[in-house]
Amino acid sequence: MTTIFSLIVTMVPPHLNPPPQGGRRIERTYEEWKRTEVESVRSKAKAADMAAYKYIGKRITRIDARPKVDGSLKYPSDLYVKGMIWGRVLRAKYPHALIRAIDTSAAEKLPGVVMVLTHKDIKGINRFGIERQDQPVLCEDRVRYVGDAVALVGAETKEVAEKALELIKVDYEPLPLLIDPREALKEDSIKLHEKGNIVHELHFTRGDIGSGFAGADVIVENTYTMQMMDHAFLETEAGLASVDKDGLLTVQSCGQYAFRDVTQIARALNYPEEQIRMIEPYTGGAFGGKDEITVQILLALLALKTQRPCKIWFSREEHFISCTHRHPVEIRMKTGVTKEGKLVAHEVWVLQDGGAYATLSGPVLCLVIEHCCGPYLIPNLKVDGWAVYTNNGMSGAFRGFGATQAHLAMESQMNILAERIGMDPLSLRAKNVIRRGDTFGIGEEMIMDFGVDQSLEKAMKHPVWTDRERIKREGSSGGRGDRGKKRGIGVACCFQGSGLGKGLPDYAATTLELNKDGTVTLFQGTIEIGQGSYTGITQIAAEILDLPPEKIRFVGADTKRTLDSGTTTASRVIYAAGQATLLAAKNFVEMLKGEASKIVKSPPETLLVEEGNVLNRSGRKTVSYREIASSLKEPLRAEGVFHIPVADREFSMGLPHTVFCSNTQIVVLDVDTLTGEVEVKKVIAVPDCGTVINPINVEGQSEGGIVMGMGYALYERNVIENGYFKNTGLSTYILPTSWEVPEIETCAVEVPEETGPFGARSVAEVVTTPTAPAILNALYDAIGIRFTDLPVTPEKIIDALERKKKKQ
Amino acid sequence: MIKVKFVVNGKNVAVESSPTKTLLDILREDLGLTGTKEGCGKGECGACTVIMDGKAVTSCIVIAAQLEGKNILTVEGLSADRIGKALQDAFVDSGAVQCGYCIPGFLMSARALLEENPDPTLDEIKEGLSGNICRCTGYVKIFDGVRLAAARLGK
Repeated sequence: MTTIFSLIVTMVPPHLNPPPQGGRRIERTYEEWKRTEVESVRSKAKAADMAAYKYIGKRITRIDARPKVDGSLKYPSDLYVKGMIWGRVLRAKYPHALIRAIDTSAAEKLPGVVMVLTHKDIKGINRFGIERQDQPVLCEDRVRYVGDAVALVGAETKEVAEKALELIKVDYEPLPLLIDPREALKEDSIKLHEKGNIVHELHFTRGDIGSGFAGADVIVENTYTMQMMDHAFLETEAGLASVDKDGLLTVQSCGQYAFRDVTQIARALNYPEEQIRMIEPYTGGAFGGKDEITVQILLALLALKTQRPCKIWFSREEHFISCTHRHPVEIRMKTGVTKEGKLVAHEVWVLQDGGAYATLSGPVLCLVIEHCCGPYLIPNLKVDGWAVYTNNGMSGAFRGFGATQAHLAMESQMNILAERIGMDPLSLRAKNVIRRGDTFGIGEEMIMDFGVDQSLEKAMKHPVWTDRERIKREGSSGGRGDRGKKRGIGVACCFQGSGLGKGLPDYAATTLELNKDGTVTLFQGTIEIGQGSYTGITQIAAEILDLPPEKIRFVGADTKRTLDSGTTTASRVIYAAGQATLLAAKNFVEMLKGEASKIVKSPPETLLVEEGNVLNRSGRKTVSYREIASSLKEPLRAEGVFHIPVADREFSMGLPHTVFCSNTQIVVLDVDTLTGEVEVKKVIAVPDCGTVINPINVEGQSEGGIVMGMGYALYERNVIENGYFKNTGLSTYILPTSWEVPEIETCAVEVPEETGPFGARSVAEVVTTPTAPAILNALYDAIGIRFTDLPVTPEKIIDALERKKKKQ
Repeated sequence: MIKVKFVVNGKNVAVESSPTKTLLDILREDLGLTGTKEGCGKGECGACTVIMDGKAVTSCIVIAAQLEGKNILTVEGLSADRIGKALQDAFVDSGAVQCGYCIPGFLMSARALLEENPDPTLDEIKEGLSGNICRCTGYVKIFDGVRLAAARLGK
């Protein structure tokens, strides 16, 4: 019934080599964790202790802020070397066609062209894909979307490379299109892949759906449709590759998991893994959009073939058509509630358009299903979901990863149900929330503390909510508002797992090394894509080592220098890599004490660390980290490895999580009933991300997530017609600008996570999920119209208002 | 090919280039000044904003043939500029930087704004920065950064 097995077998094996000589590793699984650490984390995370922290919970300046404001930081697109060539990709002319022949001879003759490569030049499987490898690096005999790569040109300048693309002759035979995902489900549809059009399907039932609905007083059924959305990070995909005389291939590029990229390059090109070094520097935004392979394999191929350093940098248009997006999804929900406000039954049908290749469609569907009840308990559940192939571009990982789409539907349902039974929408939510000990979703048990009830409670007490009738009156015509303006106030809530979910290897590892000058180098294999995690991780190390953050040097993702620390996705970095860092730092301190005890001649257990020194309790004997470093022959090196906890039982399907973050948002907006324009005035966000490691970064994530959610609800959409992208620039793909920014207030509740570093969970995805449904609920509050199709453009609002007027 | 002479961050430069090569590419490829970023190449996102003769321009749609005698200020020159330095410091202190890729462009637009209007209202800041796109921050802390810089400069 499910194809979860394929998820497991194709994932990358752990890359954890034994610790180096002179080094030591601490490794914790959840079982060990429970025995040794939980109680201490719980007690330490109490508010009284928080004040005693030096760096945790403080507004520490980001470690990368200064080189980012003075222009000195090198992003992947900023890498240029002498003698390098430029690579450019020929994309498919048709969204679906057979390739009969590719003639590169004219292109090869163009002066300045170094090489033109096609599938014939690839020795490996010529396929990539995180979950399953079905996407060609360079297409052989068929193209399935307009972003498919057909040929790769290497030239002395980018202008020549561009010109050479025009000279490549491809003989295509266009094929009929598959653009309707419903059509893809039919037996007799055109098949885009050998095994058919279904990437993944999931079916789950709990309880008795029939008797559940029979016991409901109110049943609400709706279909919600969500558009394709672009990550639209500001730095398009870029990188540089070179091969040295010993055949070591070095690729420096954007990405979200350097170790998996090595595996993908090796497999696609049949090049030995140990001969590949992947470095993923500070990247100009990702949001999931750089999780799948983009430039990496093309760079590797061109460098290996030409033996020259080469640079590839996708144009904005190329980014729009070739890269992954947020899945367009259709969700039908039928939900039953008693008049007392108890959710009793929920039937869900999901159809997800994954586009031409699998990438992460399967796992995204798993998360749609896992989150389709919202953070609520519903005893009777029936879910059926499909992810299908079509010729509509590509969809994959995007901040929220299916939970965004699931909550859009569920949080709309919750408001409709609340109105039908005459209950306050936040009270209905609070009445049904999941608590510790509950079994929920796809049969998971909430074994950790979960802060959704506290998030809801804090939102309910917020003055914008308690005083909403007055605020609404003031903003609407008739009150003091402008003529034709209608104000609405809406809420939505959400939750999301931290980590990849049971069934996938999920661990993080940090190495710390003492430098001769007494500073410490922190090696961490996750990637700084803008979220601020390198700063948070540095704060964690600083707190344990009692060393100011500026004395910690951060070395980021480099497969030859850092340990495999898993993906930079899935709201997992500050939680998992943070915890690995905490373990490494504790380990490191023990080693420091051991070395110091030899110098000060006191037993290690009598020693403390303070401000870069080890001292005995009386403070009389002190030895600095620098003195310890100079006393050692080999550098002192400590590692910490953390395994994200997973449930100890088996599940029939999905990628069930154990640790969950949550968030509640209140949105105040005005609708101009004459123009259909929506102005979001104010957003209140109450995330629970456990202990806040750095308040500026949490606020920054929250603000960015909200504005991104506004884009999803109101403006953004990749328009695809007959397989062709229609808006491939930033003036036609409409992003929120400075004009659209509302007043934002972020007031986190901090329910400590007992397995997280200092009680931290994570924040990356829950900050964006509630915004769109809260906007839909506020629109309903303002004008009495329920929108179920995103984005809600002014045209849709005017149409709906006119239809409503005609009916009256 | 043409030869153009102009000033970048106070220094005289001479570049030989095709007449249609963009100022952005000249800065990044010929002069090694990679602080100025490309986000779209079409003047739509503001990431490549520099100041040319006192005005904020998107350097991806300025070409070599327009450069003779021009005075260009890029993000690399901001630390030596009174308003620029104040903006850099305020952006760091306000948490205005996340991935940071759009930030050089924002700093240049803000520099042009504060030179013309040393004490802008929030709406004037929004207008002054409306040609720059940011995907990470939600803009809030960027506005904070501009306000903080204006306040510090006003003292």
